Amino acid sequence: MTDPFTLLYPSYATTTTTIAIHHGTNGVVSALPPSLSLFSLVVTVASIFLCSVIAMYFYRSYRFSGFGYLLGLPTGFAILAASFVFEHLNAVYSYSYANESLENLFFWIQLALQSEGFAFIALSYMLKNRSNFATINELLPAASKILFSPQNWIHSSIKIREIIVGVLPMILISIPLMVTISALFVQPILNETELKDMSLYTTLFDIVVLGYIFVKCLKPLVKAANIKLLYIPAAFALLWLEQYSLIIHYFDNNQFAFIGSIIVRLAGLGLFVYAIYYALSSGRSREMEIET
Amino acid sequence: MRQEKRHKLQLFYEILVAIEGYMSNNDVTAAKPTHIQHTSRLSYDKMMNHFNELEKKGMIIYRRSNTDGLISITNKGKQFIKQYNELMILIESAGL
Repeated sequence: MTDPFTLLYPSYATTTTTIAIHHGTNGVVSALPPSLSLFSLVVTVASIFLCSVIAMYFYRSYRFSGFGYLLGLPTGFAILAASFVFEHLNAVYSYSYANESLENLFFWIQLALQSEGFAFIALSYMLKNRSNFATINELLPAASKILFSPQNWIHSSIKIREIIVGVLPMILISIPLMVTISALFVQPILNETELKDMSLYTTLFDIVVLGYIFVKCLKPLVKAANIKLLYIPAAFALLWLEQYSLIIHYFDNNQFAFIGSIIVRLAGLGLFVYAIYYALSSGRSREMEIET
Repeated sequence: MRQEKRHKLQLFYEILVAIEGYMSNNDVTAAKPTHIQHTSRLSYDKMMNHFNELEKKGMIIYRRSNTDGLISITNKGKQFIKQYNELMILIESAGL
């Protein structure tokens, strides 16, 4: 008997299971069962809604303050919301045997967008203390001087460090695109095995990036001894757990891990929205205390 | 002690809070620039520049006189304080 969640997201399941589903018992092309389609739709709509709320509030903060580094977070969540659309489309097309290429394409886009979304969120944390850092326009002439003047090599270790730190955000943003696009260079027509390998690489990237975000987010709150505001690090920890569950599912084909990944994702995004609501409501109550 | 460089937005916030605080503490409708200067820790020239900018943005009303003048906060200024507080709490809660 095939597990319903393998039926829902066969791209994550083993190749043998997927083939069995695609052909069915009589070789008839099957469609996604209505209940699973509805479940996928509900999960997608909920994820998009929560991501949109987060993106909207942080975009408002960016518009109000004009701090450029704040733009990474809403952009990241908006991209993440777009990735959930393609996740749903992938689930829907998983059962259309005639449109296997579309299914693979949607899965490819979903993986690329998800990693890019997390990379943009990490960018906000990476750039938050960089207002005093040299801009790239200042760094490029310095880089050419260091590279083409060997006498400067010994005394330029600090400059080199600055260049590496300055270029790091660009590398971070380009990794998800490079990994996904390089898969097309290896084989222009995406196949399931290749996509599964790519899903492993992008999930590992997501785990590393979310770990970085978690540490960067937690540090200032612990320093400030602000335990009441630990909801957002906890939300990032849940999103990390989602990716970890997908890794378990990749190696073990454990359906509980896959169901768990969906649950912790929704819990993580929900907690993030609750943290925003909590922060804003505590701010309003503080204002009222000052007024009275 | 070396004072950390403040962002313009933070300076506006501190000036507006100083005006509002002075007005509510002393139960008056306007504050004197010298009082604001003391609270916001700014040089007189810089503070005057910020007053002009805040006045252009409609956040304060500056009634100039030969001696010192009087400043009062507008509803837009009060709204700015509220939004700034919310923004700071949101950014702080995200560890940004």
